[in-house]
Amino acid sequence: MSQNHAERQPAKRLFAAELNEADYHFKETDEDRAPNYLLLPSGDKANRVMMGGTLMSVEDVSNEGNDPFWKAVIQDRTGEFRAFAGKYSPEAASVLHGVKQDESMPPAYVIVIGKTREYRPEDDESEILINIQPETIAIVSEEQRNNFIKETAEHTINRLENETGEYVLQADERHGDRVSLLKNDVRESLGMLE
Amino acid sequence: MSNEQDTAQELAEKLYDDMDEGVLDVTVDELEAKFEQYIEYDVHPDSARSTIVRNLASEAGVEISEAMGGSTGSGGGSELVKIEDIDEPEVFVTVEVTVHDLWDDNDTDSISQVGIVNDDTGRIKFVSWEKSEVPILVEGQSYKLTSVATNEYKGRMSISLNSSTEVEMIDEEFEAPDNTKEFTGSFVHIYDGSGLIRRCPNDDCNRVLSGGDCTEHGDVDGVFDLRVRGVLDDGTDTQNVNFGCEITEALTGINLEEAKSMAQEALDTDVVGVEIAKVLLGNYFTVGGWVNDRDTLMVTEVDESTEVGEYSISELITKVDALEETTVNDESEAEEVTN
Repeated sequence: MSQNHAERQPAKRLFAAELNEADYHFKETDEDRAPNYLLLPSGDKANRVMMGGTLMSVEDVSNEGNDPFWKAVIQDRTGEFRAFAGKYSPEAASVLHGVKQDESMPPAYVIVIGKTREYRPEDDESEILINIQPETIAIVSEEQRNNFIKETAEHTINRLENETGEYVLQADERHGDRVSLLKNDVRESLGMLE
Repeated sequence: MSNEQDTAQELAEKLYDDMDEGVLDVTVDELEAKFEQYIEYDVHPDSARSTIVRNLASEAGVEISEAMGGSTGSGGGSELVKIEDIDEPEVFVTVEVTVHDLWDDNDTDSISQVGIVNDDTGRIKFVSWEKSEVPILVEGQSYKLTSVATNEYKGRMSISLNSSTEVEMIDEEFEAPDNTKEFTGSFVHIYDGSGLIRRCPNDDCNRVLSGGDCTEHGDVDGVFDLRVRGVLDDGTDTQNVNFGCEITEALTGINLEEAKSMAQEALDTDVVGVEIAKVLLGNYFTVGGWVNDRDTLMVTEVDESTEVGEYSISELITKVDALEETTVNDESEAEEVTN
């Protein structure tokens, strides 16, 4: 593989509970363009994530006179997360703009693919929150949403079953017991599909 | 950078040794001055070298392969290599291959033949230059090609037959490796240039027009076509995929005629790509086809009814129930993470 065709990083499937527990980004090399990874509490790393759920609200949070900056709140069975899309995420921004103009939405089922970003809320700088900078937001059917839950449950279980490796050790050290952290969330999500 | 870079003088001497005597009118000192210039501008020595050779060859009106003769720099004849191992441009190699496919190329006078050859490790494009007067290759026949020059264009390797190439028929027949592939995953990204496109109408050209122009034939009356270039992702790997017109129509329910009227109505061809993105993104399917030399899966079959994942929901519930919560013990604490 030549350098200029760097492989696209896969999107790790996560439930909101896992994203909300995560709080640590890292790079593996010093190079400028080295990918940025989020340490997943289930014991893996993610440069890109794929998450799904119900779009609860869309709001333009830009200052007046600026390009719109959309804040989307998305909920799955395990929690809630936010995606922010402005001019640097034009495709996702145009989908959210479309939702804003469509009276039938929200709510809507969505799948979001993107990079993770961390920020510290102004009122509590000790806390690190992770949100999504989406590359893609797809409005999907209930069946697609259900497929996504099943796939995410399977991938999360696979990560939890894995007992060795660098990221398993790091996750254990940082987040404590991985299974107790996520077992109930995965079980409940699967329960929705029974 | 790990290994210390060669000096301009060393690079110049090496290149001078590698060049065929008397073809390019240049001295070692002149080469050294050119290298110095590039190195000063932070150009990597390898690209400096290939640029210098290319410029000199073009000034002298000769092919690079002629200027660089049959020498490999190590002094001897070129090494017998497998196609999969060809990864360095502007070196001389020897290959044993079967002619897989010959392309019609009526447009370029300087080329006598162009096509694909393969051995049992891979396929590679070859070009024979008219003025090199090398023998004409026959489809299906195998040859030992001694001293062909390697080239690289946009990350793709090719070989060229030149006046120093020896062509010898051999009996062995090489079967190209299987390049068919299946991939299952979610459609997560659509590339620009998807949707309603126009192609060059010239026979065997088919290039996608950009701003109404074909890079080969200039301003032409394009022929409309539908295609999708995108990415499937299974959470572990990603696969670039290409859907032609038929597959795109089947997956999106938008046919070429409808796409054209959509574009006409909106006075914009981009609306088709946007509509296709809406239909495809987030979908999960299994595709099959063949992989081209840019690692893109050219899809010929799609299964949309693919079951997601390996396990059923009840199996997954059994698995999650079986996960045991562990309490951290001394043993695991002893295994410290080394950074």
